[in-house]
Amino acid sequence: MSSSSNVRPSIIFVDDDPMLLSSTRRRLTLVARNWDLHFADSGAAALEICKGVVPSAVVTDMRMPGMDGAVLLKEIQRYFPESIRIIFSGQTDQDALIQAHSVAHSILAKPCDADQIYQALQLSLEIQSRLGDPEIRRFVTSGRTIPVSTSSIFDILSLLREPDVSPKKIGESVRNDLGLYAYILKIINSSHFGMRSPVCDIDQAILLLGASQLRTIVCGLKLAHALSPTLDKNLCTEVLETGILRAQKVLQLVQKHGKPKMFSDECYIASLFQDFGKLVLSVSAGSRYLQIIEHSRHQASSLVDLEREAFRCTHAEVGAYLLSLWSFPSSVIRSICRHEDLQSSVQEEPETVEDFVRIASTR
Amino acid sequence: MPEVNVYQRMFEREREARKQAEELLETMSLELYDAYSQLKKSSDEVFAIFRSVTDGIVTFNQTGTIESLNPAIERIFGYSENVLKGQDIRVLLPQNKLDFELDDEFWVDRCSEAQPKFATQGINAHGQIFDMELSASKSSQAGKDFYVWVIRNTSQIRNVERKMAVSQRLEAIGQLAAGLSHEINTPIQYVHENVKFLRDAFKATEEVLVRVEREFSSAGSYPTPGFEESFRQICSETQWDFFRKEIPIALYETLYGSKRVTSIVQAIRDFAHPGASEMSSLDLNKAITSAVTLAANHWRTLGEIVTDLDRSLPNITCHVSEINQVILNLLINACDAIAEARAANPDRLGKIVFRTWQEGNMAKLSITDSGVGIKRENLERIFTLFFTTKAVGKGTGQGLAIAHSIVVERHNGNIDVVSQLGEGATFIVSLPIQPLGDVPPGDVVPSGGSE
Repeated sequence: MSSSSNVRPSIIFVDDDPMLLSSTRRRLTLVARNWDLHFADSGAAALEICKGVVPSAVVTDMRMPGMDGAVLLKEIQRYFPESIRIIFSGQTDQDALIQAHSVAHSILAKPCDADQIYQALQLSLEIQSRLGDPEIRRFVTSGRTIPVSTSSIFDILSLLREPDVSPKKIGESVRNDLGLYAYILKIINSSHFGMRSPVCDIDQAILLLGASQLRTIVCGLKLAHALSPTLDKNLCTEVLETGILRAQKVLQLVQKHGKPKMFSDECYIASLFQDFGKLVLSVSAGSRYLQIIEHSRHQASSLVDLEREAFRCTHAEVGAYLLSLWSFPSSVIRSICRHEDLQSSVQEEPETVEDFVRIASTR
Repeated sequence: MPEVNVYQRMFEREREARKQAEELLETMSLELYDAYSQLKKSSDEVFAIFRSVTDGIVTFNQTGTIESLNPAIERIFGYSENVLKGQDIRVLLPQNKLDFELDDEFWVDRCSEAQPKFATQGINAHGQIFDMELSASKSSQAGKDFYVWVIRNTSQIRNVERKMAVSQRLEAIGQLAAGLSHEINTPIQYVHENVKFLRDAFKATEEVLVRVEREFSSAGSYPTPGFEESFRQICSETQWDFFRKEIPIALYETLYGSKRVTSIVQAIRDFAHPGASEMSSLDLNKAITSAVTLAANHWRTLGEIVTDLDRSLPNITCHVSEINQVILNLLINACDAIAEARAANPDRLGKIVFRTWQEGNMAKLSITDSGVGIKRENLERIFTLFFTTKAVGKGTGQGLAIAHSIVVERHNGNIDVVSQLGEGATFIVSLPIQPLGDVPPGDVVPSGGSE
């Protein structure tokens, strides 16, 4: 499948309720004019459509007779690893939904606007089209391996086994692993939790989830993902520490401008996760990527150029892509995606998240 | 003096005999004394037991005259022993219980092996009616029959049972809650989406009208020759053909969706009905349809529900919320049985069949599932409280027991089960269309309460 952006993405919607499909089709015909829309009333019918169309994304109901949404997405993950997988559900069983996170990139709760579905998906599709290397695209989208270190999984699990462990202590532990940090934000920001505005504060996320759901999440990670053995410890530390430094600078800057907490939270995670793509590339390409980083230190050419040469995309794009699949706020995604784009000028008076992060990074 | 010797010997013998007789007498009287002491002791014991048991015991003769009673009877009924002795046994029963005869048939009917005790009502000295459990027996003494009633005041127990039934009803609704939100979310989703669509459609319609109007006003009172061309242009720019085709469908679906939500809310209201104390009229067929609506999310992924309902079935007079609960419990039970069967064999098609029909003065309802069925040894126990074969967290074993108690004790109905292990099960509920003479109480005044 070609990745060029002029190909119309094929999106398959699956729901056993014919009226729901009909209303979605009607609205998306107006909203998503650049998509090829397909509709299926069962998992089996969706797989039938897949025989003729490689889906760019599958948006499915959870509870359906026969094959349920999670099972369908597992099949899609297996045969079309570069398809984006979204659950669109009216279900309220939190445990089942949390478990479904291991196969779905995001979970949208009914009722939800077609516009929302369109915007969320369109951003991911746009960034996806910039990932030139099909291998990388497939690897990152398949989600079989995510950049979480095995040791932090076991650390959290043993912490959760303690009877009176404080959320603060768990928070400290999560902060040490950017992958886990992002993954927890992904889950708490899924619309089935019904947060009015995006949660960017990890302590708040942990409080909202509670110990038992946190355990479900971490156990799910342990089971569902072959945790990457190639996640380089030094690289992790470097990305984490430069991220924290950058994030603190951004916070000072934002505070000077007296911005609301929501905005400063977004700036914080946009700068903290700025180099998240490096971790994603290191689990995708393994030692090959570590060598590229090594080269960039000794050679004149920049890391970004070397990345482009090897993968036809940058770590900025890869990181932004994965985080967009994980429903991070679009302001954060834009900031991360463009952070290596030196042509963008710094505004005199910073306005957006991107502006603030850029200023903090150059100082 | 041979004669003297003879008399002497005779006397000796007599004395000997008398001594033996005296000894015998003494032994016997000692034994008698012991026996008497024993007897008195055990009779005292029996009497003490008779006086100290918390169940009331009362005996009466063939004409119904009370002969003896224990203090528990005094406590339960609030009369003293002196007042009650010699009275007719019927003073302990409320007006509507007086219709039975104290003949043999009554005892044979009421006190068979299968049903050694039964629930009825009593009335105390203050005129308050309360629930009691009565076990009766008949004995004969010296050719005369006499009767023993053992009475237990069950109004407290009844209250607890009733509370349990209510909490189980809430549990059943709770089980459905997650599914219900899904049931409501789906129509809300498409109603919402369609309304947004109709908003866009109105904008398009408005634009068409405004532009057509402009054409008219610029051309004078009637369209110019080029009007048709520009009208086509307007229609294509506003996607008018698309809207025109879709608007009626969107309207239809919106109405359908809001009707669907209404019917779900209606069903919830029926089931959350706060259990009025009086009996009222219930359309059994409608109750089944409501239960099917409520539990839709429960069964939809399992298979299909078929209803074969007798439309000519008259309404029954019953405790409405309780009968609703019975239907819901049976339906959830059927769903669980099918889910269990499908867990073992996912290809197995689930099917639930509801039937209603009339048999004499009874309304009958059956629910057949294609689930796992019930083991023969469990058939008798399934109506026992807290008996469950389900996994922990899947059921508390109250549903069927409460269904049984509601049908049998509260409505003088019957509930039966037929099952072949592995083939599914059929539950058959029979309910009197009109309550029988012996109506279980609606609201019971516990003894000691005020009326």
